[in-house]
Amino acid sequence: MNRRKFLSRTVPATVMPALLNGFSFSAFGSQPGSALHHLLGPDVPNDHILVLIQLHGGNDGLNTVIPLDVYGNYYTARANVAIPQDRVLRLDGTDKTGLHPAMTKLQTLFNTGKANIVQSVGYDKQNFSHFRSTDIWMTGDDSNNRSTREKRGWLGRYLEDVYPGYPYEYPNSDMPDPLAIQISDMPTVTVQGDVFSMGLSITDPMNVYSFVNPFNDYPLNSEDANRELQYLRIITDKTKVYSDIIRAAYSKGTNQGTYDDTSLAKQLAIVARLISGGLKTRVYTVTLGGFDTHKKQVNAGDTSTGGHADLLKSLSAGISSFQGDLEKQSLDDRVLGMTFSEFGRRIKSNASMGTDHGAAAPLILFGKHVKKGVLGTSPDIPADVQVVDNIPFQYDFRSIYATVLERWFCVDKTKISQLMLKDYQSLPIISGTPCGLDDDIDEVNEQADKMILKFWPNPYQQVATLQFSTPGGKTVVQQLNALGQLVRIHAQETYPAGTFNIDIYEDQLPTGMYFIRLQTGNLQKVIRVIKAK
Amino acid sequence: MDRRSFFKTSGRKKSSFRVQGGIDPYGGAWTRDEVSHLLKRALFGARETDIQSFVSMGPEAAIDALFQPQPLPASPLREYGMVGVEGFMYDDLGVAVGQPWGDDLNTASDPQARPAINSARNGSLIKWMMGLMLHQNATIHEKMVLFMHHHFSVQMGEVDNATMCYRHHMLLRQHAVGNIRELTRLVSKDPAMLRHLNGYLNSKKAPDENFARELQELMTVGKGTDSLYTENDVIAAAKVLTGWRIDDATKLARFEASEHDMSTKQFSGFYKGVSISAGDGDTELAALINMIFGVKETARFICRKLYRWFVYHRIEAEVETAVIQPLADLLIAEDYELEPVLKVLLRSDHFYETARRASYIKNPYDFIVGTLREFNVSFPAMADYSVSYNYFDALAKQGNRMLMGLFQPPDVSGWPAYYQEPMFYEMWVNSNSLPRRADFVNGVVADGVVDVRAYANESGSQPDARTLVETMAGRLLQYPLSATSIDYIVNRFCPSGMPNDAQLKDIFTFIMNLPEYHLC
Repeated sequence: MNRRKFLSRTVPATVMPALLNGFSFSAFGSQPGSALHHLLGPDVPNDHILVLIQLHGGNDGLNTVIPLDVYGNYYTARANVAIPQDRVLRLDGTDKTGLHPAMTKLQTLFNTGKANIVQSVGYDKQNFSHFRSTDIWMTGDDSNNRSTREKRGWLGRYLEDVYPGYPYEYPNSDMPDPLAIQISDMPTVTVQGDVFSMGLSITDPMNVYSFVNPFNDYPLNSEDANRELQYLRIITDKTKVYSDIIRAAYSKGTNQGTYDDTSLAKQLAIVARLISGGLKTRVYTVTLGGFDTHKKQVNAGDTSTGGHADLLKSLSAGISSFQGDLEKQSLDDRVLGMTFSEFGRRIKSNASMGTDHGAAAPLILFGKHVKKGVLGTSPDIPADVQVVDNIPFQYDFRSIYATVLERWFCVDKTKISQLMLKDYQSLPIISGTPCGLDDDIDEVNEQADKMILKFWPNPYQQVATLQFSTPGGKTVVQQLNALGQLVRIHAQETYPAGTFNIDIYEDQLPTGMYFIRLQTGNLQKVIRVIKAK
Repeated sequence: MDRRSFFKTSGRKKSSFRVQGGIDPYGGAWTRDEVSHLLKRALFGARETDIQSFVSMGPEAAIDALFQPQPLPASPLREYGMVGVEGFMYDDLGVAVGQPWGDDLNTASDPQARPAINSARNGSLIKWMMGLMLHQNATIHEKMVLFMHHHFSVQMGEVDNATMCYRHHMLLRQHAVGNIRELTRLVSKDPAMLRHLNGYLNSKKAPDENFARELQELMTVGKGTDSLYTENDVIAAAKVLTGWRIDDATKLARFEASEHDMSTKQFSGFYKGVSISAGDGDTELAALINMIFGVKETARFICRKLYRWFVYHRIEAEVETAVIQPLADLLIAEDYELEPVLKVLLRSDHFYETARRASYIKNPYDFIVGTLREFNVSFPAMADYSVSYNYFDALAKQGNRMLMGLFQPPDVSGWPAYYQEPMFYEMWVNSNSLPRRADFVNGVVADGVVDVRAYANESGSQPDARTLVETMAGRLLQYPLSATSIDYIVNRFCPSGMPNDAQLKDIFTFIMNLPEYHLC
């Protein structure tokens, strides 16, 4: 039995406060994980919508969000593709980073608090294959064991949990619409459930399907054939029902304002119109391809133009039109958007005016309820950057997913660790929702700046001392190689508040550049160290 | 000829147990029902003319006919023009338009243009593969080529070299109904596979276990309960396979002795404690393959895969005993030659039981190529590249849209419809792909790509509308419609007599959109 149904049937709303010892709803609203949340969540579907924009091919994060505080090293590393410093778009509240000059519309959204940026998002065993890394981002499982690793998508797991038994008893009064809609030819792993995809792929919402299913007898005496026929009849029915629902919503909905004539803008316009048409669908995915910019990512004469600039302009303008459309229709309260890409690109550019597959990259969230600001610091770019050097991750992408589940879909913390397969930290990136926490990004950054993370001598040979401070709680200190891959864990346990030293003896790592990454709660810090001969 | 009466009378036993007969030769009636069941499974679609001729042959000659040796096709042709790279146009200087490119290594043209030329050739290869399926003769070969593509799954994007993909495909084609042990040995050092599963990086200093693992898990002994190879077996096999490289100049495999692990490779009791001592690459590879094929589970695993490809996805204990086990014994007795085993399977009592009929959900090429072939749609010849490749291209894209892109299986395990529990074949038809199938059927009927009148005429003149509808439904569908369902169609589309052309199109569109049409 669906828990919401159960509650609405058995407990009149007025009884609720008494049931909860007199605490009001609002008191619990700011306490995810409290008793009320346990009671209501995670089975309580809210009406929040998540729109995912996949940047296919691996987006060059360093040319999307440009590190002004290490601009000299940035420029040295990639002079032939570097964005001129005076062309970088400034962001309110920070002089450390700015946006690619093609993203003026996103700059406005950022400065008005409708978009934010999370720096250096990735994971610790970076896989450089498009296919595998896309799967990792979509499933949240980076394990190498193919037979045991997760095949369901992170949102597939969530939707399957909230809407058990889909598609058999759906649509129903609890969920009269598709759970997820992908504007694409093919379903992706993101919304894959245990057996069924939780999503529908559509390219033309106005398509009318002629398939019918008027017969319900099974005249052949074959168990196997009848089993398959029954399956086909269910799928035929559901597909017909949902395509009719989608078409009706699309006909009823409208778009306000203008969209550019780009593929992404058209996809987002369909999404806005379906939302406007009243669909209760929880997740939409759209895709922008072409980010695999191994060469000619910029024009030789003006590095602020070229293929990558066109993509970023399309992204920035598409998001802006979409957000404006929702605002004009007063639908923006319900919608959160997020970009993702399978990896970032190498720090050092190549000789073909392009960049090769890399590791971590910034991620953009947008919508009425995002927290304003830039979370995290500019990537640490060494002065003598090598071809193989990569940006290590500051934030695990699964922390962002976990935060979206917690603060946007109001999922209980215990359930989040089940859905995400592990515990991931919650980040101050979403605010103002009934289930949100109110951390301030700048405050977190300030706190992170005050955290101690030191390493001496640097460069070191075999012996060194590592010093870190923690406000208390589970604290992780990792060492990543130049590729951004985890090579050593120095600490991973619960510490009391304080400052701690770890002595390193007989370090066997090969010489080269490394990063030390400290994470405690939602704070983190990364420093660079050199292992010398 | 009434299909329904067949199903009422010809079931040998009336029990609804799934498994009855084993691999003894089928001795029952040999009518168009048996033949169309056979042809729809062993080919892409069953043509009326083939059904008639296979009925007249009788079962033994019919099965033999399916294995008539087929000549290897000529290389794909350059059908693409100049390629554009960042605003400049380049010609493929290695191969003139209309000439075969299969063995040209793409070194003649401007280096700037080579990646684009390689992409154009990759496209050409896929169109050519599509053309070969459409132009297939009434033999099992194309269905087995696609099986091998599933079994030795290689992705074009990972290989990133059209000639290596072409040669890989020709290797599969050459051995499609041949010796599976020999094919496995050759694929193990095939450049496309070396690239796809990192074999070309496998060296004594840094052993790469990728291929060694998949060779066992996906291609030979499998992951069944009786497959007991160990992690050490994977490591030992990886060592055996060290040193295979792709020659830069020829794109052929070569063995680099200095990269080869010269230790003695010790295997577990599952492989009878075999040890393979240091030797050259080919000797060690042959010893490894012989060792793996010396384990009976390998024969069983391969027979299960073939069973899933031709018969049904569920393999219950009775099927394992009555079908898989004896087929595996036969495969071993025949020294791993596939042809005799396939012949026995496709002639078996088990294969022709009522319980086996209409339970197979068509894969996208059963659906696309099968439909077009059954309607005798005639395509321009392979050699008529400037016309024919455009059609092949359009249809290959349909295959993509229906989730079975050629040279683009989702991963090294091949297509999940043939291994992913619990859905198996059902994965082909979901709310995304069903509309694509509907679009295809509606398009080919509405646009006259298929001539429904000509199709109807193949069955001769019909006394009345009901008989016509019944005959058409009987030919189009392996799953029979009840008399009530036939009445429904007659009443809905041609209540006042023989359908005119427009009504006939509506009848075909209706039948081909039924859930039953996805079964064969």
